[in-house]
Formats: sequence, C-alpha cells, structure tokens
Amino acid sequence: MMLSVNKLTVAFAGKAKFAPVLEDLWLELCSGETVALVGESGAGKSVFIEAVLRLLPASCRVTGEIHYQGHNLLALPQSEFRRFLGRELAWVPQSASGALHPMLPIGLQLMEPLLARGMKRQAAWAEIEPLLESLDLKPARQVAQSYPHQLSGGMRQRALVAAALAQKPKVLLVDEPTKGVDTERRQQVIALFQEAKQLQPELSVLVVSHDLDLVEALADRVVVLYAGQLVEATSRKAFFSEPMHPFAKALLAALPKNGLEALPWAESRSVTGCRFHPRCPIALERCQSDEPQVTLHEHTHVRCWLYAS
Amino acid sequence: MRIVALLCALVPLSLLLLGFVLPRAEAIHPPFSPPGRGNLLGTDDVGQDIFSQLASGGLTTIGVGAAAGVLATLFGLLVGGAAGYWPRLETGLTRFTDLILTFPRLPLLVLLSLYLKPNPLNAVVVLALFGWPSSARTVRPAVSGLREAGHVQIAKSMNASGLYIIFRHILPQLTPLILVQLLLEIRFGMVAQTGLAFLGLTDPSVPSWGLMLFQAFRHPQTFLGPYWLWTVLPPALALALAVLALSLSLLTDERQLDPRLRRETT
Amino acid sequence: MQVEVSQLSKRYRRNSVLDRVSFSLGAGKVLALLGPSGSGKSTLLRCLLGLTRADSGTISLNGQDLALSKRHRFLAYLPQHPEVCFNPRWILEQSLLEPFHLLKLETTGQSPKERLLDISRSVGFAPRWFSRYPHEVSGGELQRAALVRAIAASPRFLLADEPTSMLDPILSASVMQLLLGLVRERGLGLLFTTHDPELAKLVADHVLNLRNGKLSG
Repeated sequence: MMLSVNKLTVAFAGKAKFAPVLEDLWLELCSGETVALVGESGAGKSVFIEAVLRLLPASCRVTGEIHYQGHNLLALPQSEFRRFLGRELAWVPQSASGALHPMLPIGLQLMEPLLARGMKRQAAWAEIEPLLESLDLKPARQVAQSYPHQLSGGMRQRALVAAALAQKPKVLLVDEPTKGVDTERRQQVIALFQEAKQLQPELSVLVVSHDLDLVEALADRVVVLYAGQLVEATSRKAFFSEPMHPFAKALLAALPKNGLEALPWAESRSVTGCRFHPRCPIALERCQSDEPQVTLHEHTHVRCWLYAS
Repeated sequence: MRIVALLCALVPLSLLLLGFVLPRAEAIHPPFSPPGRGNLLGTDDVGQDIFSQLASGGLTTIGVGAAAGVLATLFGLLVGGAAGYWPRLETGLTRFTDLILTFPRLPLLVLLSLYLKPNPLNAVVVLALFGWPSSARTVRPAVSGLREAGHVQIAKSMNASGLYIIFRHILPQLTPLILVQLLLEIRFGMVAQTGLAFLGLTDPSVPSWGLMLFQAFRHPQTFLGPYWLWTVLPPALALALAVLALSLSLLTDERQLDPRLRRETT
Repeated sequence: MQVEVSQLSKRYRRNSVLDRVSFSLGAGKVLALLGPSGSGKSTLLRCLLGLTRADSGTISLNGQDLALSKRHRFLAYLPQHPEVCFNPRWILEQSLLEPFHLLKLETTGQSPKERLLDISRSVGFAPRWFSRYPHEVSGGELQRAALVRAIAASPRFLLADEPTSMLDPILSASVMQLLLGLVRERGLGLLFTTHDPELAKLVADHVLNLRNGKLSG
C-alpha cells in the first residue's frame, strides 16, 4: 500500500451551514496502480489533491488520516512534510502553461530540484536527459535549452510530467490533464501517462478527471465522488460495464456515445438523507430521510440504499 | 487605517471649509503676538492673524492640489484608455506619453512660473499638463488587458460602441487603480504648490501654506525666539497632516471596492 | 431563413487562418464545426459575429448581404468560458439586461425584466441567482445565464464556441440538451464548434470539418 486515506474531511471555515467539501473520504492506492477520481465539477475531486499536498488555504480544516509508508502526512510538521514533496509525491498541475517558469529554460527547471539537493550539474543532466528522450522530448539537449513559450502545448505538458518524474517519485497526483484539450491531443496525453508508467512501473498514479475516455484508458480502479462523498469505488471494468450507483450510471449515460442523457441539476450539499436523492431517478422513500453508508458488493464499494441488505 | 486617515484629514478639511467662510487676514493686529484670546494662533511679522491665513491658505493649497490631481488623472484616463482600447492608437499615444514623461515636472514648474503669471490657475494647468502621463501609463496596460475579456467580447457582439465598453465595462473595474492614481496626483499637486510658494514663486497676495512658510522663513527673527512655534509650525503641520491623510488612505483595503473580494455577509 | 457564408478568408500576417470557407445554416438546423484547436474554429465564429474583420468573403441572410450593423439582431454568441463572460462587478441581472439596452429591443407589453424571467424559466435558470455576482454562482448556472443572455434578443441563429469542452459529462449533456431544445422549440439555427467527433455526429444535422482553415467533408 502506497497511499491510504482514511476519513479525510475537508471543510472551509465560515461555511458552517454547508456540508464539508470532502467528507469521510476513504481511498487506497497500491504500488504501481492507477486510480481515477471522477465526479462532477465541485464534487471535491481537486480538493483531494490539494489536501494531500497541503495546497489548501489556511482557513480550511482538514481532518482524518493520509498514510504514506508509515507516516501520517496530515500530522507531520511542515518541515518534515516538505521532504516528501517531489521525491515521494509529485504533482502534475492542470495548466501546463501556468506551472512552468516562463523565464527559465526547461532543462534548468527540471534539474533545479536535483541541483538543490547538492547534485552536480553533469550528474543532474545525466538523470534528466534519458527522461526527456523517453518522454519524446527530442532532441533532449535542444528541448532543455528552450523556454516554455517555444514549445507547443503538448510538449509543455510533457515537460511538466518530466518535471514531476525527475525526482523519481513513488506517487504521481495528476489534476485534470485533459480539460479543454482537443481529441487529438487527448490521445497524446493518454499515451504520455502510459509511457510514464512504462518508465517507472512501480509508480502509483492518482488522476482526477471527468474525462471518462482518459479514465478508461489509464485507470485500474475508479472512485466516484458525489457532493464530497465517495459513492462508488470499483475496478475499471466494473465501472464501465456495470456501474452500481445511480450517479455512476448517470455519469456514463451523459456521454455522447451513450446517448447524451442529461441529469437534472439539484442542490445536493444541504439535503438530508442521501445527497443524491433530489436528482436520483429511482430514489426510495428511505433515501429522503436516512443517509446510506458505504457497503461492499462483490468488489464494489457503493453508497446506496438500493444495495443495502 | 481608515480611521487614522480620517483623523488626519479632519484638520486640513476643516481648515478648507473655514477658508470659504472666514474673511481674508489683514495686517491689523500687533505683529508677532503669541497665540491667545484675540488671535487663536497668534500673528505673523506684519500682524496678520495666523489662523485666518491658515484657513484661506488651505483653500489655495488643497484647491490647487485637488484641481491639478483631478485634471491630470482625467486626462491620463482618456489618453491611457484610448491607447489601451484602440490598438491603432496604441503606439502613437504611448510614445507621446513617454515623451511628456521625460520632462521633469518640478523644475519645469519652477521654470514656467518665472514666465507665466504666478497665479494658482497657471499652477493647476502646468501641474495637470505634465502630470497625466503617469496615470496614462498605469491605465493603458490595465485597459488593454480587459479589452479581450469575455464580457467585453459579448458586449461587442451585441453592437456595443467603444465608448460604452470603456465607460461601462472597463473603467469601473479599474476604480481602485484610478483612485490610487488620483490620490497620488492630488498629493503631488499640494506639495508642488507649497514648494513653489515656499520658493517665493507664487503671487504674494494669494495666501497659501507655502507662502506662510516663505514669509516666516524670510524674517530673521523667526527662529530667534519662540515665534516659529506659531508662524512655522501650523502651516507645516497642516500640510503634513493633509499629505499623511492622503498617504494613509492609499493603504486602505481595496477589497471594499471589489465585489469579488468583499467579505461574504451571508 | 438561412445564413450563407461564402468564400470567407482571414489571414494573420502570413498565416492563412480561414481559407475560402463556405457553408450555410438554416433555421431549426444544427451545424457542428469540428476541428482541433488552432484549426480556425474560433476565428470563424469571431468573423461571423463581427468581432474580427474578415479579409474577404460575404455573409448573407436569405440571399441579402448581412451588414455588420444588422448582424447582431440575428446572430447571438455563446462563449466558451462563461465564468469570464460576465462583468465581475455587476450582479447577473445587470448583465442579463444588457442585450435589451444595447440592441434597443422593444418588448411588447412586457418589461425587459419580465421577458428575462420568461426566458430564464425556459432554460431552467433560477431567478434567485439574478441578484448574485458571477463569482457566487456555479459554472453550470453561469453557463445557463450565458444562454439566457444569448437568446434574450430573440436571435435567429446561435453561435456556440465549444459549449461543452470545459464541462463535466453531466453538465455537458444538460447544456447540449438545452441547446437542442432551443433548436426544436424556437426554430433556432445552431452552429457550435467542438473537437468531439462523437458529439458532433450525434446531435448535428451536418458536420463541417475544419482543418488549417479549410473545410472538408
């Protein structure tokens, strides 16, 4: 087990009347595994990554446990926590153009953390060069000397992944890698992460996305969030062939290839009972008053009264 | 911070108001009399009441500063706004702005006051004529940044005119920026006017805080006795407070002006 | 009623962004403009709306040349990023009333506000959001608000720039269904850009492939 998250709850201060953005999230990420976190915008997907990496504003209250190799990351003091960043946990942010320094050549940006650790320039380059080559940033020397604006959008994203992989982390946290990206480049992004996986087979990847094509191509397991709660956690195969939770079904039915079925919107954060019941096509009477718990059904964890025994 | 700024502004502002009502100071009192019952702040070397001078002087100093500041900012808004919004005008207007900016304002003011009539109106004109480039330079990039904003494009797609977009969409978003620029310009105008008067380059019949300082410093006795306490200190303090009030209000929270940053009340 | 675009060309410096693009869009029809980013989709929309001046080519309505000043009456624009398409200092109501002022619309027997409420109801935009600032409203609601504004002026054609590319599947589906509903109920002609061939195939009567500024297929 690389990363195990238990009862993670994130709440923004001053918004007491709303339910927390993330509530009692439970998640496990094994070595070499890719887990996709899917759900609507605002379900708390990106907040999860921000909570792990401590990127949330100070007014945010984060409780629960995030275990990484015997350490509870949430309990560590900042100075110790920083040792994990980059070397153990690496982040691939959403925007490739905003995350690279516009005034520094790519190569220097990638070598920076290695140099900061006291590595010699040549040794650092020896680490970076094969990485650039294998991520199809060729010729490596030329790419290393160019500035972000001289690269195409796709290459910038590759550079960003290279930057994340430069310190050989064990866990990669990827935020919406294909948001607003066109179909052709989406294939490239998918290929990019597949290459990264081949490069470091032990790498665990947690990817947050609402792009289900990407999820289908990359993920081993799928975790579905709804209004800050886990509603389904299952294998990729089970999610795409027989989703259990009504929301997971709606998510798949909304895809153009499945008929573009629209799920009406309704407020979900401040309802009693199951959070999904105002929008659920098959809501039972019980769903309006009692909140369902997560139960296990043949390898699928699901939060729904439909499956409660 | 706002409260301190308001407290500081209290003195110069009340002097400004009194300047409208109080009669002009005349040399009818005994010279150099200390503060007391007849003359609240004493009298100067020729027997004019300091307090009434302070009041009518405030009118000139603050008036010149405010008028010059408002004019310079307005003109800067026009030039900077036009340069930022219409790409065709950008290069020309930017060059022009930079050209004017190369003139050193204060020395120029000194020089021109030797040739022009030394009245307050001319001071306002010169200050405004050479003061606008800094506002124009601040406003231009901000305007050109908003030129491509989504809501501007939408308005354009509904046949909105350039002036409508500038005045309804762009400038209101720049209020904090413009306000800061205005306060800076007013402050500069006040200090510049005082400087000119202190150097004796203004009309001696128009009272101002700078003129009071000029006259007090010119008199050999001022610093030989306690006289400076009421001839130098009050105008100097009034100016200091006015400048301080402006500077402090520059520090106030710009969050109040932006609905996105305003603290949520619900 | 039909909009015809013929031989529209646009160059930026040496690059040809649009190269003799011709197509037509009829009322009640859905036209998808499919192409990768940088293919000229957005430029085409901007040219149609008059936000960018085309170098050559004509745009006509029922065979008559459609002058720039008249275009706004017939064509409305639905932008890609609703979150930056509202003046951040205005409450939504102000933004939504803007078309009435700008296009000097006459609303017979109704105040603009009443008309706005009618339209809002038809696209499922709750009037309680009217008094909110854009940053206080979720992306999905803003997308609806943008739609309300676009159809406020009763345009005959709606030009939507990547209406779904930034949205999650559920929101994409509901926005798309909303647009299709307008086509069905109001006889609106819809032109939307997308890079999703599946979506284009599913909902459009006709798909235009744009590649390096040229139409094919």
